[in-house]
Amino acid sequence: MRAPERPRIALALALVSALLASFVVQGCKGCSAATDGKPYYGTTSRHGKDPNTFYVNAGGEPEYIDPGMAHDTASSALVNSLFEGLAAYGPDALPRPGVAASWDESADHRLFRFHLRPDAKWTDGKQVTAHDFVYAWKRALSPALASQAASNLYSLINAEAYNLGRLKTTKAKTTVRTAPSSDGDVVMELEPSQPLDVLIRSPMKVASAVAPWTEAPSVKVLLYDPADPKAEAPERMRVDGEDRAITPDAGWNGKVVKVIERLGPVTCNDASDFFYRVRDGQRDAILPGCALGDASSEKDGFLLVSKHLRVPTYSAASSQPDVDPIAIGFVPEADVASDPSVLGVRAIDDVTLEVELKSPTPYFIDLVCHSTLYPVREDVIEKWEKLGKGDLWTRPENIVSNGPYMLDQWKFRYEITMKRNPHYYDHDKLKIHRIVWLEVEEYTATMNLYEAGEIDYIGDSLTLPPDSLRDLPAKKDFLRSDYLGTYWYEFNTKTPPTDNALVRRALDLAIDKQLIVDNVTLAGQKPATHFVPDFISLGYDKHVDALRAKGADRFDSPDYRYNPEKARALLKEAGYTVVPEGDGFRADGFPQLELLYNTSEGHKKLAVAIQDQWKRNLGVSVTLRNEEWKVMLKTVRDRNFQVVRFGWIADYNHARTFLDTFLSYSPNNRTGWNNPKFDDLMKRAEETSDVAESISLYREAEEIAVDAMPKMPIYFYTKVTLKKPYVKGFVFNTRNTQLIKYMWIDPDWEKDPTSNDVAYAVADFPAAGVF
Amino acid sequence: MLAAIGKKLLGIIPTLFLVGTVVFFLVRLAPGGPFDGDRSPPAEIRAAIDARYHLNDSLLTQYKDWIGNVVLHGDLGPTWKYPNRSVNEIIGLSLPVSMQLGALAMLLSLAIGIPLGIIGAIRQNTWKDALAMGTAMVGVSIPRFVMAAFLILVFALKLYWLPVARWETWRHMILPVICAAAPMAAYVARLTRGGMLEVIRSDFVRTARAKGVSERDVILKHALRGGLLPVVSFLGPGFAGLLVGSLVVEKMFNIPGMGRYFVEAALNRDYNLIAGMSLTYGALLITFNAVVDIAYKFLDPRVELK
Repeated sequence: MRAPERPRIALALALVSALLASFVVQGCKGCSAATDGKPYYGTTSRHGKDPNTFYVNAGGEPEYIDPGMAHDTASSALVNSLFEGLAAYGPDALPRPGVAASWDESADHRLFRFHLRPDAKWTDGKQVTAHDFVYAWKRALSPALASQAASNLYSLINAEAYNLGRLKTTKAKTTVRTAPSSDGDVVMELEPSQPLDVLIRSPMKVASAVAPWTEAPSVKVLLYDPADPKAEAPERMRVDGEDRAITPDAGWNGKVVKVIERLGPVTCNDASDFFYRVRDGQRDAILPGCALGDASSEKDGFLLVSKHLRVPTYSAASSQPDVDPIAIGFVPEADVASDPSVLGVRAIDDVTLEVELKSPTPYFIDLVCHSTLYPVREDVIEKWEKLGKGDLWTRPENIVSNGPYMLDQWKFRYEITMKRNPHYYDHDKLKIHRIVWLEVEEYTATMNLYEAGEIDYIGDSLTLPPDSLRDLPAKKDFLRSDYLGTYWYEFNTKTPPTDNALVRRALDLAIDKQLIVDNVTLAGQKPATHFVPDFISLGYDKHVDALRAKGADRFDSPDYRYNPEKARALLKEAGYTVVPEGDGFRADGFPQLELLYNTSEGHKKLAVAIQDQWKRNLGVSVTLRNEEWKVMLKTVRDRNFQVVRFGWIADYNHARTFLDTFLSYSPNNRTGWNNPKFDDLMKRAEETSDVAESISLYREAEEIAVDAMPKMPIYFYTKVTLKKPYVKGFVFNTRNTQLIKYMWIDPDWEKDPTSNDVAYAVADFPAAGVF
Repeated sequence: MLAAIGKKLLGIIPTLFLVGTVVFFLVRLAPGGPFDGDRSPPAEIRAAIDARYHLNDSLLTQYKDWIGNVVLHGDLGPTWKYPNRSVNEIIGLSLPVSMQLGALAMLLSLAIGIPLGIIGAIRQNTWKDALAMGTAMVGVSIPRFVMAAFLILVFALKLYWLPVARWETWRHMILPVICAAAPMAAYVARLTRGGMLEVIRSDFVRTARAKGVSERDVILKHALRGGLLPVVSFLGPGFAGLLVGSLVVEKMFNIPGMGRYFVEAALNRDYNLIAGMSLTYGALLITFNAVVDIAYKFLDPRVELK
């Protein structure tokens, strides 16, 4: 008789648990601190906490706190507290004096001389000297270190070629020969320390299934398909725009061959290249460089070299070319080495650092704020490097740093604590004496810790998710700032239908970006009609303002804004008539598009919105595909996509950081788009020393890129965060770089909740001297 | 007896060798590598990175180097995501935390689960049974992240009794241990009930009752020992699962345990870390199972150790 009771109770309990679940998942109004009607999110009491200790979320375990290696966001806030460069970001993210008190620069912005303050000290009390910078920069660029941050130093003379291993120097007297063997005819003798450009190494491994030429061809443009020679699919080839049938490779594929001679130039897979005569035993063949793969595992290699012309000896008049186009012959690989003396940085004395740049860089003072350009100590690092444990120098017990704070404790994946650097020149002015970095990756845990007052600030590297942004903006501790980044979709410009610029522009105009930022992304982002955020400084923002004042800002004109009618017209022009069908449209003959994004709720929501708008406005059907991040990177590298989600966060405060990714030879150009005029404008903009002219050339280049639309800009980023009202001196800026040395905790904040004085002000640099 | 135990432990070695080998090659099959990121470095830098970390060696050479270090030096290699730490060090730091959380959760789940199971069995088909088993069902069916969010909301953010997260004092441990223990306790309760029901009906229990042994003693001295057998055999994999499977609890409470590495290391393509974690999990699982087998012998004289 009692038996029926059991299911009933079980059912009741199941219902209770279901209720409980829905309550937590849905949230209940008033339960959450976001909707409780109070002015701040969570507690504003800092009861029981030391007023000189700052609690912040580091966002996770930093990958590197080694300035030469650091390239991820979780690292940069930590590195910025531990080290200091020649200049340091002010609260407004503009450069203020750091280790350098002043600097002089040449009129053409190519030579910089920094005067270091003599009282800048390392945590062990030693003076920070110009030699420490020289060592740090040479180290970051050394090919052996393989730092992913090295490109931040590429404005130095010879830096890129040196870093990529293309610029070597003779170790001793070296014999140049006509052939890659020790019995070749002697061409000349080279003195020691002669810089050489490496044109190609011998031997190489043939990586093409297409038969080589037997005689020097007069081919100008060559396209292998697939462009990745390692791909297993059969190759197709286009020669000077004509499809060519595949001929059997006659047993050359995979062969390790000697490189005998360099022949005429050719453009292979959109990159400048040459044909080479190669030899396998007695057979000769001719192949382009792009069909030759690395064979560095083969010992006793030779290098085909030319003399490198440009050395760091500044002369205002010189416009020497870097590279001598004439190959002089082969040298044994063992006779040359990467020698950092070719780099444009030297210490004149302990307190004077001279830097020579490859082209005019008026914004170099902004670049020196970047962590890659911070000084490091040679004796500290080399000690560990000698033991083969180079990475260990950043452990708390080993590290020596020069920033306002020093590493105290490091509990792996849990917590990092820092204390003041006792030798820092502004030590007495720091109001935060201790920083506790909690390493919390999970968003909910971070919000809970913030709500309970365990952390004072969400941290630079954590972003609030869109779901929370409906209610949070009403809170007084909610902050929003423009952020130097652009969210965009990239098109594969090599395959139809997105190989047609009209199609790409139609797809762009069919999207109501305002609607998307208002309803999907929700963080107050600015809809983007172009690639460089309007608010980026160092000339671009003012240039845009001036254009707007004249009504000449093209990207602000209706031509670039949401216009479904014009989008349909463009699609028609591209050969796809858009016909009304039912409530919407159908693009006749337009193939289904696939939109790729890395697995994430935010990217998915945006992709769904765009899928919907393309369907509704153009009648274009889109399928969505998400892939785990690393899988997606591989897919994109293989150019196995049609439209893919990406974005770009500024490396430095200049328009160039965005436009660089469009250069035909940029490793970050994944779209395959290349335009010689664009490349040329970028080069001219780089080479001119006239700042205004430079900016307007960059802008001109951007216009070309926008009209061709290899990438479709969607919005300019914003950053949103929460910071307790008692934290003062925190200025949310467009670089998202808020240095803790400017902050302090105000126990009496309630008397004046809106004031935000910095802990201490750092004066601007004196005007740069000219020489 | 000792020989049997020794044999069991020796059997661990070939199994771990196999696990290590399979994982080593399997992780390298996934597209993308440890150093892929949103910025694409030039081909030369990619090559230099591969050279620095010996990723350009042939797979066989990499395998030989790795397995050699593991076997000869017990060195599981460097990690690539955390360059100044080794895999050994990461396991050394995170395993004790997981052990602490796992052991506490295990004890709590036994302390709750066994009494609930016993009540369910001796009051079979009464409201007490229904209540006990219903509670167990709720415990199993509420996802951990929901339970964690609920507990934090009530006990940390509303009542201020306990901290919201972190792993410091005993007060920090209460909520995560409850979260980790709840599904386990529910499972233990059901296993105990099932085991007890079977034993209660057996002849030796009936004999004990007939001899006039008190009901209390019948249950605690005679029935429980046999009734716990299913629970004991679950403890091995159950404990190993608690150690590595507490990803959600670790994330919600920011606990520096090792559960998260199983997912993260795979996403980061941190090959050595994945292999090291798999080996650790394998070793734990096999060891606990061996311990369970031995415990079985003591609980049930009919079992022979093989």
